[in-house]
Amino acid sequence: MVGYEWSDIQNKFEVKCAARDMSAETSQNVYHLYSMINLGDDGVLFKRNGDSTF
Amino acid sequence: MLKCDTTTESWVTSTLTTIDMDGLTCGSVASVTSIDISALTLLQVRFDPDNYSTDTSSFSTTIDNIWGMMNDNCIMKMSYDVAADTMKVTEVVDLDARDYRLYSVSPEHFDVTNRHFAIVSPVQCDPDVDHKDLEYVTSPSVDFYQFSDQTWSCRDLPATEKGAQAWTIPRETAPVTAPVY
Repeated sequence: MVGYEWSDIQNKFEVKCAARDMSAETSQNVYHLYSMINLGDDGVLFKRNGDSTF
Repeated sequence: MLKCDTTTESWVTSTLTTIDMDGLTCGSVASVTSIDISALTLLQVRFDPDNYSTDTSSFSTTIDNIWGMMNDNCIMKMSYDVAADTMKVTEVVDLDARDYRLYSVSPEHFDVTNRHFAIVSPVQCDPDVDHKDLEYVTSPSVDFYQFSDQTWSCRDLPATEKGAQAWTIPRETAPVTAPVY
């Protein structure tokens, strides 16, 4: 995951937080069962299928 | 929670390990009273194209409604407290009462807006059907739940099967024949 912030000056998104590896889903059967919730400026809630924490 | 701190330009993390059901029960028959996070999938209402906000600041502070599913017994509305990093269930829609619909609740069968959620059923619409008498499947269907008045509606979907019925539901009323070895 990469964190961006919109720059009015540059009129484009700037990278603010460098790429961070996320838990990869290895099973094709459950690839769609992830959770990704948008919390606005407070980030995201993310969970891969089967994980017991967000 | 995973947050990009744009001041320090670093990731800030916290771990949410429990979700409070706040005394609510998932399923009128199953009566599940605790959240199994490992089985839980959360989905969120997307921006509403009919009421799209041009106030970009709202994107920073608005958390669109969150819905969760962990079994075939219910759909749950969730509330997340950013400051406390806690989540709780605020509303439960019972699916046990509609068990003849044979739901297999999973994100690919489900979508949600601010007004409704929709869930795919493998059997046709029939408001009067009793699951014990349902013998043939003619088409799949979609059930819609309307939040404002808590009512259900249904629409049949086209069946790819060209016969009179897609398949016959196995009945347990037929006598069981012992296997021949």
